[in-house]
Amino acid sequence: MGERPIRAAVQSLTSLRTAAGADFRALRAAVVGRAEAAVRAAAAVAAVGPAVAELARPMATVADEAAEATLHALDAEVGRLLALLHDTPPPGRRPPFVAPSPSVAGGPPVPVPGLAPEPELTDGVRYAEHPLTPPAAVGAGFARQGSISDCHLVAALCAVADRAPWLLPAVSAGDDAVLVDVPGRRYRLRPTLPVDAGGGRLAYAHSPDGSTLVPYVEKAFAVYGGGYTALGRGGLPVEALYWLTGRPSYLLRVPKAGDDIVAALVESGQPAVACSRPFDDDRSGAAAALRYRLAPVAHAYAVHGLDAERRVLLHNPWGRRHPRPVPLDVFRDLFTRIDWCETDDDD
Amino acid sequence: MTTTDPAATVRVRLGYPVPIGAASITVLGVDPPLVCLGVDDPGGHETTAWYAPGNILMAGGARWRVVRTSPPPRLAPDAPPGTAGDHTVAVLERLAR
Repeated sequence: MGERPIRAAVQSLTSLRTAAGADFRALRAAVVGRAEAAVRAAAAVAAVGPAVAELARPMATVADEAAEATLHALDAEVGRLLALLHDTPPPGRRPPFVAPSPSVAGGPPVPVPGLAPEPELTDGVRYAEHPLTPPAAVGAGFARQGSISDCHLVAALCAVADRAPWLLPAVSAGDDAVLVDVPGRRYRLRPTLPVDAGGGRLAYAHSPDGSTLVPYVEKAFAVYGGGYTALGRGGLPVEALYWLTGRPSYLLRVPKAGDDIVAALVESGQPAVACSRPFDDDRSGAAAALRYRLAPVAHAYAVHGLDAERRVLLHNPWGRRHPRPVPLDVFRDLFTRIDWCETDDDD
Repeated sequence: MTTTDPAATVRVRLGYPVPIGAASITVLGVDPPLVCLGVDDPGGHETTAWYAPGNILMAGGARWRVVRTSPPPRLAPDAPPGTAGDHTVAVLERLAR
């Protein structure tokens, strides 16, 4: 099956998911509103008030469960389509280089012609063999940051997976190699991933379902960036977005932009990453950051959208401790920039 | 009594979660010498509290003492995300059961 129709199908499914998500949110708001109105109306009648309240309570849960099931099914379908891409190396490219299996345990890795050198690791981490496994579903939550400070990359991955999964890199398994294809470049990697020297679990970026596409994309980015140690010093999401997608990528200086410009970008559906500022010498900023559950350091978040009250919804690449919805005026005070890339396929 | 086994010492970093068994600890705020730590245990149970050196917390089914804390480095307002994320904000030492 051709790559382009698959990416088009993923794009259509993603649009459908966005529309379905909005419809479910509207449905939930309507259900909750009507239930509350019914409870208020029934409250006047002492005998039936509690009974109505008890009947109305599960309605929001039913709506939530329906939304979760439908959106999960769409995510799984996107995951299956992307797996087809990963199993099918793009046409016109050279076949993967076949190299002998490197020695993983003991001694420094031996350079193998045609394979990228193993990126330098941080302390307490070693390489271990891990086969490539595609994720069961693709969405904002499919990538989680590990024990390295590369939120700029992982947030970009979350943003692309959430809003434009058809632009994710194609990752495939060759003989004794894992191939990561980003626009303009193919990375031939040893089938090894960084693990804790003690426990043996994946040390850096990972997926909650244990699949290994995400850590292989991170490994390719570490090759590009000069090693995991360099990656862990932080970086600019705009560079990660461009490396991942090859699409024109930009940044918006948030403090200098108006609320309408920020809101338009957040709602545009383009993959976007918001960068918070450090709060080390700003007590009021630190208090506000704590109130909205922002990290106390310069950190990158995938932009998810606006809620009904025009507050910015953000996804933490940690995979937990997601920020509370941030009002636009507060957002402009606590964040320095939004990095984003175009998704329009007009070439 | 505290153990001195290096494996029983955890460095909590500024910019990413640190795994402790099946749990993880994240830094949510810093007001030297206090640090606000979030503990996420399996099953979605999470706690958030401020700690000073000498305080005790529970994470991953074990008790940990905050040995020392360290303020984050000063950064430029437009520092790229992830900068100084490797900075150790708190050192925890596991307590014997």
